[in-house]
Amino acid sequence: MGAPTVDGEAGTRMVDDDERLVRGGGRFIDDRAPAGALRLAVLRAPFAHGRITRLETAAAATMPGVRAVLTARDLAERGVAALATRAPLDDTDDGRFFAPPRPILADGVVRHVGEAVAAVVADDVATAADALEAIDLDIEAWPAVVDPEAARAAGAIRAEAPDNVAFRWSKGDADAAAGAMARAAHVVELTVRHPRVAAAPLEPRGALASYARETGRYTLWTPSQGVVALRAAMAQALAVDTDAVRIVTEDVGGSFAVKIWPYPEQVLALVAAERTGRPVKWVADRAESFAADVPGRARVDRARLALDADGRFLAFAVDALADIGAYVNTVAPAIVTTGATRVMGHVYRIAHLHYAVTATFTNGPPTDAYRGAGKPETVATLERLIDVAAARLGLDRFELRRRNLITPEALPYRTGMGETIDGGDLPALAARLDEAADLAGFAERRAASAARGRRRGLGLTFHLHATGGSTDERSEVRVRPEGAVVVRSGTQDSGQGHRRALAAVAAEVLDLPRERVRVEQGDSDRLAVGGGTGGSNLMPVAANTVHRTAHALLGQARARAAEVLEVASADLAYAGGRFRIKGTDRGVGLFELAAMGAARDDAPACIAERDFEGEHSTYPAGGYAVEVELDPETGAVRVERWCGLDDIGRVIDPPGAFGQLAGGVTQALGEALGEALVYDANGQLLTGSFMDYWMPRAGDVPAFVLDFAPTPSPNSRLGVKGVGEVGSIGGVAAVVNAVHDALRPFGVEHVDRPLTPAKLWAAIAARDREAEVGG
Amino acid sequence: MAEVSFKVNGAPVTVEVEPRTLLVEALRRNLGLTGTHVGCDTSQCGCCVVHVDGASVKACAMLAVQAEGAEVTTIEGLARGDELHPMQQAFRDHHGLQCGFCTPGMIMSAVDLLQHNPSPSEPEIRDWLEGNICRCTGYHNIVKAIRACAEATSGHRAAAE
Repeated sequence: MGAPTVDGEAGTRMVDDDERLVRGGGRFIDDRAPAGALRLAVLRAPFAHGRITRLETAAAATMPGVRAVLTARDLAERGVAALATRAPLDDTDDGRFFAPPRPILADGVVRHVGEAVAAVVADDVATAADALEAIDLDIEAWPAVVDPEAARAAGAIRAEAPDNVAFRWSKGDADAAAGAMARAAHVVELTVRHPRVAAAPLEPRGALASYARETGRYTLWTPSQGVVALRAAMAQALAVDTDAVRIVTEDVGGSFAVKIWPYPEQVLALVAAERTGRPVKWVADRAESFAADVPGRARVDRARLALDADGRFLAFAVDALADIGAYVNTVAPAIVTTGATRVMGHVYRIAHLHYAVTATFTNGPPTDAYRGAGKPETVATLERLIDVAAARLGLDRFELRRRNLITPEALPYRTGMGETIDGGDLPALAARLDEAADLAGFAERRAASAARGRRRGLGLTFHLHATGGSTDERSEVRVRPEGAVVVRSGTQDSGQGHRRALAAVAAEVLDLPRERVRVEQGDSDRLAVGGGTGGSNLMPVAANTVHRTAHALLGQARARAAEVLEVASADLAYAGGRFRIKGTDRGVGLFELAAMGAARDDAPACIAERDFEGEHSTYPAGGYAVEVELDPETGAVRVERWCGLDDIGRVIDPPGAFGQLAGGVTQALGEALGEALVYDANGQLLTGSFMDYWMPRAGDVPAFVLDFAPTPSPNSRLGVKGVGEVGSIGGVAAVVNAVHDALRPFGVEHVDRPLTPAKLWAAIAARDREAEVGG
Repeated sequence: MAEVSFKVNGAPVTVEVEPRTLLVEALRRNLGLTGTHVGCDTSQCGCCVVHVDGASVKACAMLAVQAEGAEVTTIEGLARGDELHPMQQAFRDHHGLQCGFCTPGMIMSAVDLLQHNPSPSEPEIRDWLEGNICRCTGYHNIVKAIRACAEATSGHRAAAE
């Protein structure tokens, strides 16, 4: 098959994102430095809880180079609104849902370290930093609580919630689950703690705001995962029409959810631009990012698994405590409820499921989704519980899992949480993983490790994702006379390679080289509708919509071509960007039609627009086999092998999909072995830099053996499933179980994450001491 | 204010900076070379790695005035016009990047690795990258790209000898 021929040779080759980025040609928020821009800096609460007794800003305001100081009073006078959650619940257990909005600047009381108290706007960063020092802030410190398990008994963070409970919610059949537990041959209980972690993309958050007095329009350049929702949030905070705000997102240096949320600093930059008439820029440093970014996870699961005498899973129940932080963030209520339950039971047939959650306030920054959004916790809890069950009951862990897998005959399988799993062949995947990971050779590898004084452990786990996110996708496909196809999507790339993947989808339909397709995202003036990126929705939602839209465009162009060539459309063949009258070499090209259209204002031939239609959910699934080596002398763990198989449906962009999986499992490895936001008893953050907050370096991860085991999703025109969160959902338990397998000879059953050398060494030492005392 | 003169990507420059200005700030703000990034405050992340007199340096850990008389190379100075540097090409060919924020520092660091060790093993590559954090890729394709570049360039050297 030769290369497709393309008419309209004037078309230029698009520089792809990778080429631009390896040249240093990225355009990140801090790279935008318009002449005359002022810099904004934020004074942050030094205490986790307390009353502001003094906030004196006159000295700062009169410093040379300081253009404005903003306090809560200024914002109140301006009529700036607080940030409210977008996901209130109307189905809580007791009808109560308490979610006080998050003020842009603390409203007399500070509720977490790092909460914004005041802002200064100055000619440059150094002047702004000096001005912060000149603000006189006194806080009467109150007791703080950062441990969710201590929150109920602690002093109230809100008078309206004396027990610190924001809401209680449950799903599933509690009676049936309890009945199954009562009748079961075995019930295994375990508490699994999922610590607060930082998304920590390498590019910190930032914002550049401008205000045009003559038009009354605000523009905010800021990294995001979708400009449309952010436009609404900013307009609401500023109390202006949505049309008065334009949000522009250029290159985003990683996000993993943390840049979805509207933040106080963005509102402050907009207000400051309005007040000063100058562009105002704010970029977080890393310490600010750790103190004021929205963290993820933060759940404690008291879990129970019931099994019959043959090791079949009968019921799985979780009593969860979700640490919601000091405020209820944008979609946090959805994450700890629906997000947590959609994958409950994941790849296993379990008749009875029940999940109950208490969302509790603490004196930490508000939490919300982080890559996986409630699902990594639920999957990791069950996978951990299965290993504990196997150990307690003396069963083989892999066999126990295999015995309970959902089989292809059971599809479509409706789970106890109301999800209908769309496809997959889990037993085949398990068999392939057994071989790919060379499980047969594990005993030999373990012996080799032991000979070196190391304990080798194996973790073998399965996972399932229920993709979600917004379905407010509107895709546009436009053929430009100069030889380019422009695709617009309301999703937003933050490094995943959206533009390459969506270009591939459009190029396939239009039978053009991918280089001819340019994908545009990130300008709210060009997007009336667009739900943004989240829930691994690029493939299930956007790719399917772009595919439909490109087909629609081709249909319209065909009708126009028939008109131009004066034949019936059925007589036209299409290939390589050209309609040809069958059996002749007469024809007309797509780009020629666009040129005619441009001249005659005949849009339908060259523009199509479609909204998402169809099934929103897909269910990617997979399995990971992870081997670690533990040094019992130091507690240090090395991940030696990682073999994974994932069914993400049809793979449109294999390098991109591989990259999503490899990056996701590395974040999971980080969560398993070292990542946790740690606060002292007063709520002071102890992990406020990359020196203290451990994240995996190149030497901490193995070369990955990851492959695809695709089965098409019937829920998707293209057969695609989501991918972005799959690795971070599945990876945590695989590593955690591998480490616990290595710990088994020491009689250690369970250690809470993160499994740092200090904790593992202490666990081993404690068992040694017990043995000595006992002996 | 202090006046500092040095060469950036082969061209002589003079910038006027406050003595406390970091080299990375001078490159980004005074010279508009925004390919060198800042990802942390503690010299951990490596997003700001440049070459000073041929050796990789974290430009956040050096004052601009210390660059007086030096030859500085940034990510923008690596390609020869349309032709990417072999390390840039390898990162591109092997998809050794996602969001691209750590990439310039990663590439500058990798180029320096091959100056020290033209055929590094995989553990040597991983060890060298200790000072460069990537949050997106899981490092797999970065390591692959560096190995491929080492193989390609040592192949060139072998052919030339």
